[in-house]
Amino acid sequence: MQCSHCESLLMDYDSGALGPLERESVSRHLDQCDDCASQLAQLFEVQLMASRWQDERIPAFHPRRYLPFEPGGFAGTTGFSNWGPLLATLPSVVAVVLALVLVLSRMELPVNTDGYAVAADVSDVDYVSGEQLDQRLEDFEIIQNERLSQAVYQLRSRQIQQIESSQLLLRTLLEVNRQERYQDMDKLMVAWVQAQEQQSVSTEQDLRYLLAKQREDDLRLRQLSSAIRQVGNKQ
Amino acid sequence: MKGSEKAWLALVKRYENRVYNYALRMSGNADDALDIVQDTFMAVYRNLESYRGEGAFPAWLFRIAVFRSTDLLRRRHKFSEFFEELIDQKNDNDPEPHLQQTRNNRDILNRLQTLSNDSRQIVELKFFQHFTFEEIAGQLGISSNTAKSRLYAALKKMREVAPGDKAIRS
Repeated sequence: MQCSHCESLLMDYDSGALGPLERESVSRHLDQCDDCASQLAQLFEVQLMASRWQDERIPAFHPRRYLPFEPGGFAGTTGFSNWGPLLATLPSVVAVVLALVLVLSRMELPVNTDGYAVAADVSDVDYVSGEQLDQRLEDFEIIQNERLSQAVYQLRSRQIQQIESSQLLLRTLLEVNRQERYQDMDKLMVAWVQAQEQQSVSTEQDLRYLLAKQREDDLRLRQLSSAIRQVGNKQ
Repeated sequence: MKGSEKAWLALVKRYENRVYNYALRMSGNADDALDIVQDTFMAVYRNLESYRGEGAFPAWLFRIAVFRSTDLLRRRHKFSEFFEELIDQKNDNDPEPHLQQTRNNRDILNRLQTLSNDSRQIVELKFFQHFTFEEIAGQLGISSNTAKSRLYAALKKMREVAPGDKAIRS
């Protein structure tokens, strides 16, 4: 059996669709041909790989335009139901048109030789000339500048207040710190003086002890020398 | 709800995930897969009247899916020719992290992407969709002997290319 023929039968060989003679023939060829045997092994491997695939769910966010009533989707198979999306938007369109009609119907554009105005549902309208408008703008600018100056002044005053407040706080903290240091120094002095006094008391006691000791020693020496003299006289 | 709409919904529900997984394996990424699903079902809907019951419905459905996927992949390949470097960098650094895939599925996708579109198509239709060679021949517009030859050539290619390598796609 040739490899090309064997190869063409591998799928049927695997699925058991071959007749007994053909199956026997393929088996014998596979025993002798490494290439075809590898091809069969590869077939098994791919089958195994395919069996291991875990089906994934189509994402929920996927816009299914092939479904009826999905956004952008077609609605059914009849002509009438194709109008569905259009009918759904009709109320919005009507509302917009109605709103425009209402607004435009209430607008007035009265015009005279002095000027023109745009007004909505106002029967008496003040006509404003160009010069008056310029004057109003100038006045407005002056008022705005004044307000700005006041605002700047207030801001600076506040800043100064804040700085002074901070300085006062710092001075207070310094004073407190100084007082604490003085107190510490006083305590230290008292402790040192006490220590000195204790030391001097201790020294005095030591001296007294030594003096007493010395007196004892002198007395003993005198007694000893007197005893020696007496012994010498007797001899 | 109308009867025809109900039937259409039932049809979509039955085959949607199957087509999606097919498209995922063919394209290697969810975005293209969703496009293929969209195109396929739109085309199925438009051509439903032309299905006269000759052959099983899945085979007919997948004939459309094969056409749509081939068309999309061809268009994507032309796109990638212009932006080859960008695509290569993206593929190196971005293994589709937004997909909630199992590691196993990722490995399978990578393995399939080493094949040419034609080879991948035939492996998919035979091993994943379990169509007969006759059905595959009808879907691809070739003879069943040619379909067999292509399948075995694809198997040979998979033997040659180790997992993780990238073959030159035709």
